[in-house]
Amino acid sequence: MDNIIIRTNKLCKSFSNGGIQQHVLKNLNIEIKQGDFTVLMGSSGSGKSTLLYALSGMDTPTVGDVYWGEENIAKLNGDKLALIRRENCGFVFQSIYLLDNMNVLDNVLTSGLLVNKDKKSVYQKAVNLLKSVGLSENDFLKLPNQLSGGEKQRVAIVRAIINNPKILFADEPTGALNSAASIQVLDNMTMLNENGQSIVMVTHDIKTALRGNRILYIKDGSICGEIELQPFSKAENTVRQQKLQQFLSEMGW
Amino acid sequence: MVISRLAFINMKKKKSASAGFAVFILLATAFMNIGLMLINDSENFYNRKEAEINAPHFVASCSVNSYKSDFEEFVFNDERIALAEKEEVIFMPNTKNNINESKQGAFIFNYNAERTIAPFIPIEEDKSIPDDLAIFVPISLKGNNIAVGDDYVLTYKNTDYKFKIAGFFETTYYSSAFSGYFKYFIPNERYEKLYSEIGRAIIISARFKGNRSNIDSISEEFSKKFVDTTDFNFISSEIMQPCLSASSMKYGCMSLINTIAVILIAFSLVICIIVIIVIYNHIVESIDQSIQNIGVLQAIGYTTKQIMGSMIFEYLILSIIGVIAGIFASYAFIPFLIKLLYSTSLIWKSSLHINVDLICLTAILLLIVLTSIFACARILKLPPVKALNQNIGTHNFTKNFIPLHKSVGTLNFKIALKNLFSNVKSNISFATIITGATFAIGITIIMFMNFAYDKTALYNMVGFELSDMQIVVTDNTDTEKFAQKLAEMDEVRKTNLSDVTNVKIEDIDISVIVSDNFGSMEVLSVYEGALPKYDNEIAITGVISQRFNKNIGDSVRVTAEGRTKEYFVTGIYQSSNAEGLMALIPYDGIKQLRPQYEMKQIDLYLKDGIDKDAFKENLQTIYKIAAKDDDDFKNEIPNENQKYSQAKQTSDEKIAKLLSDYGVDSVSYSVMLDGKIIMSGDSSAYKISKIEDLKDYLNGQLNSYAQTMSGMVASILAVTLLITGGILSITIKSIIKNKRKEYGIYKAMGYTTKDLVKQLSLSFAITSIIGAAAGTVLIMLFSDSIFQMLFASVGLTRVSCTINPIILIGAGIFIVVYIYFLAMLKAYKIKKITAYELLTE
Repeated sequence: MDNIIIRTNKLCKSFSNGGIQQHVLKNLNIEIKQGDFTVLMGSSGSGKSTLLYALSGMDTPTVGDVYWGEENIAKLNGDKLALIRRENCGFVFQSIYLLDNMNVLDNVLTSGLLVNKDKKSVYQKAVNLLKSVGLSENDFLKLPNQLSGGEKQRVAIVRAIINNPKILFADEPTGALNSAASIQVLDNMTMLNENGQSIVMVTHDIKTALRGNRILYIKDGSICGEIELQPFSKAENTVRQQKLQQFLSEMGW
Repeated sequence: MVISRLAFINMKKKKSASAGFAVFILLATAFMNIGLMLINDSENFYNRKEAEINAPHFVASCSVNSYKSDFEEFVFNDERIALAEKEEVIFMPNTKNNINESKQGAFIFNYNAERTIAPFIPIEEDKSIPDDLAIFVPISLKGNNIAVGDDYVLTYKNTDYKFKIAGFFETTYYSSAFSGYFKYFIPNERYEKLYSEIGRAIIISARFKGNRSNIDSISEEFSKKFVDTTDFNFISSEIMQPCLSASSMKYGCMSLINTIAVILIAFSLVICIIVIIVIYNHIVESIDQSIQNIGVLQAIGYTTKQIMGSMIFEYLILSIIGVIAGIFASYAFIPFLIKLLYSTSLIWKSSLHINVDLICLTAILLLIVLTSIFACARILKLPPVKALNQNIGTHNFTKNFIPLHKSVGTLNFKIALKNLFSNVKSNISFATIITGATFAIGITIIMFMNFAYDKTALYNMVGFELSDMQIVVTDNTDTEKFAQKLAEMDEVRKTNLSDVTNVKIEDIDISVIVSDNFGSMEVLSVYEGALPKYDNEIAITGVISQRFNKNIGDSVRVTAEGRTKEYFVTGIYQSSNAEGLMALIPYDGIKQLRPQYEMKQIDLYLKDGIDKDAFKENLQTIYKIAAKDDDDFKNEIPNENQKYSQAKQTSDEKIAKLLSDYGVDSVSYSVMLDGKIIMSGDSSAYKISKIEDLKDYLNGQLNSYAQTMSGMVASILAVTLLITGGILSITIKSIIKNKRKEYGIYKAMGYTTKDLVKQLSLSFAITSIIGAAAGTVLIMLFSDSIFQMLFASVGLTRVSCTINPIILIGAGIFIVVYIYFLAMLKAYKIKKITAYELLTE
């Protein structure tokens, strides 16, 4: 129990669409553990992004509980959820979502200074992290529209981890990137996980999913299956890939 | 069809913004329409009313004792006159009423008496009020919120005469708007009672025949023949002429209407400018937001002109709706306008004014269409590929203002500033709107402070010296000596001699204020140059300066009593009196034209803390003025007016001779006529003819003006705040829509709704501070010019109002605080939307 960060209890989420109820998540009981690189997989419309946002407090469940430690965040209001996210979560989105009126450095500092008022230490940390993901000092004052897709996503990763969140939530982080940029981004995320960062990632791509050590398969709003893999290694990926493909085949992928 | 379909789809998408625009256009139209209607209609309105109530074209009034049959003969026998009447009325000078506390003269007519000119036509009559209490008052008093059945008390010589208002009537004169007198009607029963108690006056009124080209001539001729003579004891103060010409009556009624009209039109133009800015911005933003859709339409085959046409059509429809609604609203506003115009003492009647409606419709539609065309023009240069790639306006290449790790302030404040710099164009537009709003509110506050609350600016416009009281001495009194004697009194700070007379400048009749020491005056001043000092100097009003093209250093030819002399213009000043046809000439200067001329008025200035009324009473006790003054209107010897006047004149001369021959200050006297002593007393009682309080008199006149101004100020303030709030709502809604994803990102990062609301309201507050500061600067620079334009219709060429900087800054702060809190309120809509919805919708 000690290494469980998030736990859900009969988590349900429904949407109303023109008077018709759509039940996207149905009675989910899952746990997210410390240090895991958890991947949520499933076909389009299976509810994986919805689950991601429910776990992270970006959205509130219709029924059920979401526990962060002892606190049930399903009952909290918007501002309290914001505070939970501030302290505990980092987000990386498919559409990247950098603030286009701020340069690279300010995009990261917007998140960093929210938690830590010590401008100097936050600034130094931001610089170090940006360099660690492959950006140079020349890039720090560039605006988002002056960067490539991969560069933007790496800035987004730095923004997401500047406050040492308990979990990094990534929703199709490579969805809008070419393969070279995707590999760079995934390498950064793998590196973070190797250093102890817990990650929950949504993807429908097998190569991306292979980065995780725990795959949850979602179908029609329920967890159909779960598989654990060895930690990612470029050299020994073939076995992992076969195992995953077999698992997915059993799930009906 | 295609264009209109696109337009209606767009309008449906942004219903509240569309509704907001329509409302702003409605307001602009309503104000403009009313203003134009007033200007268009005022001339005809007055002429119609004059005919409707059979109002006189000439009125002369005098005390019964100074009446001569010559006056009547002069008017009745004039071939230009179609109809003339003479009527005896009750007259109470210096009367207070319980409504506006100032002193006025009261003319009380018998409503049962037969008259053709200005017959008694009651309005809202309550016949249940008994005849011994009933009084009918001019409709101008309705502006004081009085109604039929209210008590009405006239206080004259410390006696209260109680009445109940039984109704109202319209009148073109003695309605106090600017006359200093009230006309009343009471039934015969009470009239007979008061007739014997109180003094009486004679009123001669006349109506012209068909040709009205020289309608004021009879008034001028009457004045020349009778008023300028020293034995004409007219009952009005020196400021007003005892004869009222058609023009002066019209001016008294209509000057306020013109001022109101100009204010309304000016305000509507401010609203129009704001609407143009808002619509321009909105179109530009709409294009930016829907750039991809524009690209799609272009790709499908819509021409740029069709796409532009749909946008222009959208605003054209909104404008048509707004303008038509505004025109209807202006008609609906008429009952309120009628109430506002009660101070004219005439009931405004408006008819359909299609020409004005069409002018309004055309002007505003044209303005909106041109703005839309100008805003949409950017689409003309937009290739479809660029539009599809959203390649316009969304990319920010600006400098890194306010780096978060270096700059000072809270994080939310810094982000607010960053947002400000990244949306410079729209913030400039919003700041401009706030500048306009601050300007409008600031001007109305200045107007209220100067014309309704503290009337100093109005006093300065009158063009007369406003000492604490004005003492008019009798003919045999040595004014200078008497002034020195008064100056020695403990309560008196100083005295100064002055008077008013008439001359001609370039053959135009001008009223002239004469003094031997203009420099000693405390209110009367020039706005250009210097007050005249020497016998060849003159100061003229701006009206005369413009009319004759005379400036400082030029000479003007002045004529009086057959003599002509040139005077050099030393200064330009202003006067709202006599339509601005006034001048200042030193005593030595006027003597060149009128060698026998003597000043008969002493301006008396009291020391601080002295009770004016108590001092006046003391003067009256010493010099027995009260008894003498009002006795003129009580004919002790009925039908012996002429004999009485002659006896008075003879005794004046004899007493003057006695005082002079024996070198004494006073003598005791008795005057006997036909075996009866008709007058007796101490000749020191002879020195003062009357005591006037010009300020008090002005206050009475200005009260109704002040009330109208207060009403206008409240309306303009409310509308400005409404429009500003409306624009702010539309802008915030638009921002939240445009920045949905951005807010989602902030929320994902952990910013609370409070943080986001603070950022938004702070950026608006900062923009508002800039706008309010600019508006305040504009007020300091241009307020005098604005007021000049507004008051040009009353003959003022230079208006200088007191601007209290604290109040002005306070107004600016109020606007900023209003915007800040309204922005916070509106921005809280963000709370209802989850981070997930912001990002994914």
